[in-house]
Amino acid sequence: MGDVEQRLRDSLTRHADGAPRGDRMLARVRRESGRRRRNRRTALAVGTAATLVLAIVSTAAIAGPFTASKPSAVLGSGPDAPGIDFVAGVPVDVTFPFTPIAPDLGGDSPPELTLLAGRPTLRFPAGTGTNPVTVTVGDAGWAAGTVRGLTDTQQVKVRDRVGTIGDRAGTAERVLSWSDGPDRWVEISAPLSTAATALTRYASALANQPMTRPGPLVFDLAPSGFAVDNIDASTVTFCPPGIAPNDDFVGKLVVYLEDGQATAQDGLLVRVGDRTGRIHTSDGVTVLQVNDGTGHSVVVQVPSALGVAQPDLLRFAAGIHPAAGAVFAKG
Amino acid sequence: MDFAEFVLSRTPALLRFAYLLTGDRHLAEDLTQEALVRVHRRWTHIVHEHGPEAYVRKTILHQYLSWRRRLSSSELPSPYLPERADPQLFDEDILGRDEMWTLLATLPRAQRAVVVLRYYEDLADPDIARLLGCTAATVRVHAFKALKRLRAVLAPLAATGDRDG
Repeated sequence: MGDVEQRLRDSLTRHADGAPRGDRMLARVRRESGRRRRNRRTALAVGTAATLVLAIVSTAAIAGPFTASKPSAVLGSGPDAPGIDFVAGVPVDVTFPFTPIAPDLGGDSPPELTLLAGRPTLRFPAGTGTNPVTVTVGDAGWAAGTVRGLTDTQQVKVRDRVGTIGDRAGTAERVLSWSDGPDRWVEISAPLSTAATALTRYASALANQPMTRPGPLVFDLAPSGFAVDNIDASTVTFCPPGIAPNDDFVGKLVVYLEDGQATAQDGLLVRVGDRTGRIHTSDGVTVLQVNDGTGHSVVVQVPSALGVAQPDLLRFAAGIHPAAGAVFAKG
Repeated sequence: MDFAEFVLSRTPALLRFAYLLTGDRHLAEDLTQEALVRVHRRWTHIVHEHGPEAYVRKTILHQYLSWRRRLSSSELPSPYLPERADPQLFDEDILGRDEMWTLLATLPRAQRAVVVLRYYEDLADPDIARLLGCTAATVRVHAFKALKRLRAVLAPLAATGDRDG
């Protein structure tokens, strides 16, 4: 075995000890299993009802569960996400209610504005192995979760209000959390090495000036009744009604840009508008990958439980276009 | 063995595997949890027909290869408090000096997976090929490219003295 291979083996063996212990894995698995069983029963009931409705809807040029009208922006059973502007035929934008004018916490890299679990989030990338600095804006319902699990807390004055600074247990994050007005809660998380004074200074320097970035995709059609709960430089997720916004893809319709094309290994060949794509279903999820002819592709993932018929999926995918400045993620 | 026994006894090893694949503790937990949730649904069938360990590892591997990156590293509110990091296992100063670990993060996922399966799990190329759903020749290509990339970066460093922690 060569020197590099031996060093590789040694490094992997050494770093294996850095893995989490997983003390609560069994409880988490059982909880998630139970949640999915409940969702499957709900989705089955919704799918059955939708099928009955579709049977009596006249077949226009655009049929099925997708409509060209402005989709609902309701996030499950909660209020609209702040800053969402979702209109058919235009990019999905993310608006953040503040503009940071003290970027020293985040270093020299420009921040990335995303929508995360329905909450606008500003993230300043950091170096390897270092947590980024993130600023997240949520509603009052999110407030309790941001403070729970903080240790070594102290109350501080921030933007003429009272905030809480603490360390998030089990992570390398220091958090400043405060209420910034009626139904607006803000959290700044930064590496543990960040001084409390720096956090409060940064928070105080958030100007009340909204900033907007366009999303990565333009949708001619959008799933009716779904809400967009995640947007970043290459991905948009549509959350079905009845599911609270969250940051994962489970149970959702997910669309993302891929740096690469679909090949024969990716499923059956299909025509998608004036393009071609590949489609396959596995583990209860249908994946449609549409090549754009330039070495990139648009990928649509939809759980079978949502009951989307293939013709509707193809029509939806045919109306998806990368926006200017979109990032094609590497697989 | 029932499902609870399997999870309690094998989770540490599964998490080590997932962590070496991803380089991220949170993602390792997520992928492992997802794989175990899927196994839970089909436990009776899997334990009799396939053996759960291989099934879970394969699921973790395929999730890693096809996973779309999460949109944040921030934790969401949960009924469970996050585990406290063990200071002895989380010595970032020592780990930070390991260039090899840093370089692994630059490898494409398939190459990194092959490297982990070969040099940590000690699997033979045909076994790796079965896990990845490709040919043994493809496994060797991934390994060749990964080692070539690592050597290209480490060779100049070796000329000035080995600084690998």
